[in-house]
Amino acid sequence: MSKVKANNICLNIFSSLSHLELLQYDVLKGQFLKVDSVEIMFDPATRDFLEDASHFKSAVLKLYQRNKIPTRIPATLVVPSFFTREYEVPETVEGEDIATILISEAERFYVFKKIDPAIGYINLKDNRLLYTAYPKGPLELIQQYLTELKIPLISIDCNYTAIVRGLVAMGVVQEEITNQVKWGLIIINDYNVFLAVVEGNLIEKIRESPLPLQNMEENALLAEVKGDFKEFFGYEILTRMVIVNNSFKVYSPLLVEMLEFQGPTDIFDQNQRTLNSLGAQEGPFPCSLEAAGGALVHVLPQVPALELFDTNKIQVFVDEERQNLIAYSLIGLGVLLFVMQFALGFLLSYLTDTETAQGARLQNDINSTLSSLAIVPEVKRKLFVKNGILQNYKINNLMIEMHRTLPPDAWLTEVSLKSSPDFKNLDLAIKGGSLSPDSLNAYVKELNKEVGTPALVPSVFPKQADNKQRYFEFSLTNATLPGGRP
Amino acid sequence: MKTNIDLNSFSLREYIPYLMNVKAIAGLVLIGYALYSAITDVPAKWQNYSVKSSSNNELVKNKNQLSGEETKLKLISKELDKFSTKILEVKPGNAPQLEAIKTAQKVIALSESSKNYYMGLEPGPSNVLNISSAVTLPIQVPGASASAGSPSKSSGSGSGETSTSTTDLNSFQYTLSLRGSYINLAKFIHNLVKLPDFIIINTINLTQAKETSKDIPNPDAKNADKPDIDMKLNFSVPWK
Repeated sequence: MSKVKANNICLNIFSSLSHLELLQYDVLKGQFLKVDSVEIMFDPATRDFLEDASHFKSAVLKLYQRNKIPTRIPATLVVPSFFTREYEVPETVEGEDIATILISEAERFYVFKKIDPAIGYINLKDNRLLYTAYPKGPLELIQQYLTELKIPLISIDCNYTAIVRGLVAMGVVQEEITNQVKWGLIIINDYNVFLAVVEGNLIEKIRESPLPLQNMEENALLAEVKGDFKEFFGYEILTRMVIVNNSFKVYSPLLVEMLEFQGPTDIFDQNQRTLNSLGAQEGPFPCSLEAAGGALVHVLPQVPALELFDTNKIQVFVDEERQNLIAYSLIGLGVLLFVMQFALGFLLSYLTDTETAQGARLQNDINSTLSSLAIVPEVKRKLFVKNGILQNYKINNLMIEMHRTLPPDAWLTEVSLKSSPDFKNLDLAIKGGSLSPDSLNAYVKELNKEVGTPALVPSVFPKQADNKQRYFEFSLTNATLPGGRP
Repeated sequence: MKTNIDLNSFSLREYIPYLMNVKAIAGLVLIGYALYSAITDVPAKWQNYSVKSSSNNELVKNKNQLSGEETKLKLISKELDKFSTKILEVKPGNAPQLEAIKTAQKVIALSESSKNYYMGLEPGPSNVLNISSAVTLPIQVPGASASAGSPSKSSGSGSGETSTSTTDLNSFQYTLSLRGSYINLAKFIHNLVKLPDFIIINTINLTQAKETSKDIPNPDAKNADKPDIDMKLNFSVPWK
């Protein structure tokens, strides 16, 4: 899993051992968000703090507070090389044994006679290792202070590999990486000179030459560098030379002139006049290559770090204030949700109870109303009786009208009245005779006033009696029942 | 500058330590419990409430409908009480046919009082007058069966009209044969419909009396007082 955040913090002990540089770098946008530094002096011989050790702690805190950077953001530390060498490791040695051997190897040198080294290494070609040894005491002290400040430390890199990474990230040697060709790197510090042949983005061989601590004339210094240069690079075919000059002791253009390198040469003068992070007002660089490379230590794993930090000790520091805020927020949210669901449940239960009671009342009302609807059969019976009586009246009225409106020259022979069982129809069939047909129309009209619908339909047939008297037989019917029509 | 950063996984990893303490875990547990309760309990209660509420809405509708129908029904019943005719009531232990015969005898007596010649009373079969198919109430009674010839709405109460048998009437049919003048027979019918007993006239058949039939009837016969018409009156005497 990546240990990288969008914002990476790098603390760089500048190689002049006079400043602690801070960089906050936005990895996603490729922007330098914050660059700053504080003055802190280290002993070049032991890398101990020259001032009160606690000054380091307050200086770091000051850097973070001044730039409003939360301390919980993971940080990397870049330290200037104290002792960096190549070592050819036996093939049989592997794993943790390598670190042990390298410690023994470092302790062979005078600088570690009295101090314990912390070791970081990377593999080179042909079973060779590149390792850096740094005084263990000061390094542990720095880690302790960072721990006390709850700044999670995720890496401690050597400035050499950080510079290579910075150069790769800034695209200075993009062509060399693409073509996988060799280029030269010269890093000049106040206390040593570092020469490296790099193939693509991987260091192939190095040489670190200490410089005398006391002041030295520039020409003599240049001559020494030139000597190292000629001896180290020899007949190497290099497509580019990169000079990173962190010291005021050497004037870079003069150095370039002396080296007589024929290919393209890039010069990075890193000091208080060129680095904004070290106080330059409008310097050409926002921060040192070491700081940039340190901030990208996990972004560019192609350039491995000379890791001085035991990554197993990576801690994620918990901000107590933030922790309490989160915890109380969670509890508050939980209580709120609980109360809400309880209140909602209570409200729903109350509403349900209310509805149940209302339902019971409504049911009682309905049952009460339904009991009064028990009169329906009785009402129907009354209605049936009423219809029956009206039917009887209608029959009575028809009997009266049939006689009352019968024309004087007409007579009845048959009358049939038939009621349907549901009283909806009354079939009437009248037969009779008349001496003249004209009066029948008025008769039918009068009867139909009483009959209603369907109306009577007359049929008239001329007849002659035995005495030669002519008369008309008629038949009136409104039959709706089968067989009703004569 | 491109990077291979997994911000999400890193952020989560960063926050895990903030959650690894008693208070935060208690908060998480509380949130979990509250959410679990909210997911399991509240929907069930809401469902319960929803069912009750919709059921009550239905009940309110039914109640309002029933109230309206009840009002209408009472008005109709009151209006029908104006018809004072009574249905024959058969007392327990009495034979319905004998009770009906008494009414039929009233009819015979009535016919004789109208100067009609009584020729005979022929009892017909007993039958059931199907009131349900004959009567249409101008209301829709919830819970009643579809007996009124109009669609009825269900109240869901299952009450209302219990059976059609309580609505229908039993009856005996009679065929009364009479002879008389048309006027007398009409008077008889007139008196018959005024009887306080409920009698249903089914059919009336009038024919000329055979012994007085002739090819050309006398046009003045309608005013004659002589019995020149035979009448078969078919009527029912209902009882409950």
